[in-house]
Amino acid sequence: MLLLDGESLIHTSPTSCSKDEGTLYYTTKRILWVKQGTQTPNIVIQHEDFRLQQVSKADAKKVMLRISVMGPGQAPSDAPALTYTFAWKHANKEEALADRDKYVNELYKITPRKTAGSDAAAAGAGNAAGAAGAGSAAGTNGAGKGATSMGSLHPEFARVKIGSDPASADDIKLRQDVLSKNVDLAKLHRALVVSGLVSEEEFWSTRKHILETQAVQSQLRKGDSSTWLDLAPTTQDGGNFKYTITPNIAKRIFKEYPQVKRAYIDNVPHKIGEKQFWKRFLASRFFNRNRSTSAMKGNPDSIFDTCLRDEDNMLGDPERFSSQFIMRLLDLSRTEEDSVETGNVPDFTMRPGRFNESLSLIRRFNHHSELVLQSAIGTKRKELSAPSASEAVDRELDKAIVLPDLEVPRPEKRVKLNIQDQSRYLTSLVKGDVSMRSSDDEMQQRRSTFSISFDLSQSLEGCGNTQRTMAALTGSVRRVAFKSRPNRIKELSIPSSLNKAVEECYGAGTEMLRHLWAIMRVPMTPEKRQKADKIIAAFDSVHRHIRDTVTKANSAESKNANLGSTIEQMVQPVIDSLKAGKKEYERRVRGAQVSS
Amino acid sequence: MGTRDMRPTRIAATLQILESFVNEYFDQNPISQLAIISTKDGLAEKLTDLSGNPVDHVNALRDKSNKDLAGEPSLQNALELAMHTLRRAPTHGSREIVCIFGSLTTCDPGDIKQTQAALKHAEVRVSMVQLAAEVHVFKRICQETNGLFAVADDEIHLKDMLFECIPPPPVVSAKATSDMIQMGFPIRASNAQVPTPCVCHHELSFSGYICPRCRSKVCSLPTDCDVCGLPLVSAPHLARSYHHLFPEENYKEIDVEANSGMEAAGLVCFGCEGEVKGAAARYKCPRCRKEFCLECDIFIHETLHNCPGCV
Repeated sequence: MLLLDGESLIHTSPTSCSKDEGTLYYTTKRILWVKQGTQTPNIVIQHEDFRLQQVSKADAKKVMLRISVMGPGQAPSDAPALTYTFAWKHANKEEALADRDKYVNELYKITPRKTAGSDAAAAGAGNAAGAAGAGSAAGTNGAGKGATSMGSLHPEFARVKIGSDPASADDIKLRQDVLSKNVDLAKLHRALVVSGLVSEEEFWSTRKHILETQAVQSQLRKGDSSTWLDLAPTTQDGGNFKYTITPNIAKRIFKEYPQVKRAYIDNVPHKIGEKQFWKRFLASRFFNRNRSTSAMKGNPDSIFDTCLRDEDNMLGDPERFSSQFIMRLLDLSRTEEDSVETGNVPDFTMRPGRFNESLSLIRRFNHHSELVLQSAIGTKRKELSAPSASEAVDRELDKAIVLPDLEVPRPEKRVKLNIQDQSRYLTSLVKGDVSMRSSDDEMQQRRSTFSISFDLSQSLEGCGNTQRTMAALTGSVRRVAFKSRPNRIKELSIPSSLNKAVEECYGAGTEMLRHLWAIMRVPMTPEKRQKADKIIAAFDSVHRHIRDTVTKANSAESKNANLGSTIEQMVQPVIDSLKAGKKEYERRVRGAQVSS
Repeated sequence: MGTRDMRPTRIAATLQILESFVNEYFDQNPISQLAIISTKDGLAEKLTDLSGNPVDHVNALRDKSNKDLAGEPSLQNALELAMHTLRRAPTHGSREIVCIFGSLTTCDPGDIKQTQAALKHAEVRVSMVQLAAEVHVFKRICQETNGLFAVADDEIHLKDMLFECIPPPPVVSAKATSDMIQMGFPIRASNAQVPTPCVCHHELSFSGYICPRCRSKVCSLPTDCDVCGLPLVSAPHLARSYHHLFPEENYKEIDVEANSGMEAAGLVCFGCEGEVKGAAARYKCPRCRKEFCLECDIFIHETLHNCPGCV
């Protein structure tokens, strides 16, 4: 397989595509797949044509990668026409996943970002309904990119998909969900984004974790209930009974009684309608056999009587459990020889299947329990073929005999805290003479201060200046009460427009600062620096806004004479924070320049 | 959870005990964070996000709308949601999930063994207090992840078992390294005249704490600064978490009859300088070798966490 000029090989792996074995090559210009045994590549994908990739879930059995590619003669805005799926064969799943992830990371680097540019403009308008049509193409794009936008692709957490740059319809729905659940965030969103101070993308870029959590929560699925399905009717006036059968209930009935499912598939919709089917089901003997006494047994019905017969045959079949595969511990026949004849009359009470009416009910209960256990354990009963079975059987016996509750608990290994300079933690900070042991006399003196005797009949005259003490006490109490009086803010009588203006200044300033600090937390790259410069430039607009607010305050009418200075003091903190942020950024930039 | 074997119903008793758990937890571990997740009707829902403020959690627990009961619980969904939430926590701390479960069944969409393996891989410790009876699957999950498992008999037992989860677990894994992390110690700002908004709730208030890095005002500690992300604590908070790392050694009990020849009756306790009567036992600190009476011993080990003789 020949490489073009200037092309070099980055990765190669054995994979299969469309059931053929072969090798996948990833080079600097193309992606190639060569079938085993041939020389020329069967699939050639140029990097420019690559549109989107998808990976199989981490817990799926096969490790697969699907690539969507533009076909020849397609316009740039069309959806990709060709898809190729590559599967890794693996002895060790972790290795295969790591291998596939190498390709995923490479492909992520060349994933085109601006394809859905026009779609993003429509989607970003915030109208999910309008963008649904355009958003579906962008949605797959966003979701596909999202699948690769998780940096490390840790298997357990790779299920979460977050759209990146262009907002897909799923994204918009997610954002709306988050805003509807979180009142504070909704308020902030309204104040900042709707009024145009901050763009939508920027608002959400620092709040990704909230979106992630909402995404995970909405992706949780409900499992199948394991309770015994008992369709109970509701009584309506007139003595009629009403049964409600939802699709969920129908699914559970089909799971429990596969004969009904077969009957449904055979008959609906060509022979009878769905409603008719369920009506006949509820009226039939099959449904009603154990519900009431013989009086209301239900009418004979062609479909469901066959179901009845099938079920009796299936459940009553004594050959259902092949006796070779029963675990030794559960096999009662093994201990029959231990139960020797006693002098009593042989037991006649515990005989299964004594009463015909309850027989089918018992059989159905057992069948239901079997289904529940199978779904929990997963695999069917394993075959225990004679030779290699002995260790497995011993292990089973061991598990049954050894009870962890009776064992002595082994203390777990604990890792000691490793501090570099331990002495500093353990010495006290007391300087000077540390001898605190007081002499006996001092101790006596001290103890005597605690033993006080009262003489309540003595008058308080000549006791010192109690008036001054009381005045001092009440003065301090009054001061504290004054500080925490309830309507302090209202007393300042700031007009609501000014209040809003101040809030806007703060909101805008805080958002800018958030972005700036978020950028500064990671090491600088040139594009980050550009972004930071833009933010610093945006500070000026915030400063302008503040100045406007102050001038408005100075000229406004209000009961508060000092409104201007009050507002000035109110906005001072945000000015300080902006200054601090700018200073820190400049210091970092200068530091980077000095070192570079 | 609606059965009345605990007064008035299991859910009401549980919520009450949880309130006191939240308060006690933040008392003992002030710089830690907590999130509350509930599960019903086969799905899990996050009631509060990871935060260090007990007020949010107590409010969510008191919220009437969270008291509705419906359908079957789903342990797997709840564990998955909790694991996802814990991902954001820094690795230098320990991650734990504590469950109170009142049901004998769980309705899961997938294989809970996989969730168990994921939990073990992420080194998350799951502890559970069951209200009904011991269920093998739940016990296995707790054992595999080195957590505590208990079945509560009544409310008092439930409270005791739950409070056992409050002290932080010892670090078992060899992967844990002790790195330095940056923390801020903000100064209290009380502007008596003019209110200013805080950055966490955007509400006007007169007093607050100023973050040392970005100079923005936050209303309460401990918290993470909303603007620059610096963890903000005050010194007492750190000191309270510190005593879990360096616990005081237990004092040795000295029997008076054994050394009747030595210290005469009427020794003075170093802590309270009160007389220790002859027959009462004295407790000796192994490091500074000072002797204390019983009340001082209890006070030092349970509340003070520092020996007055060593300090």
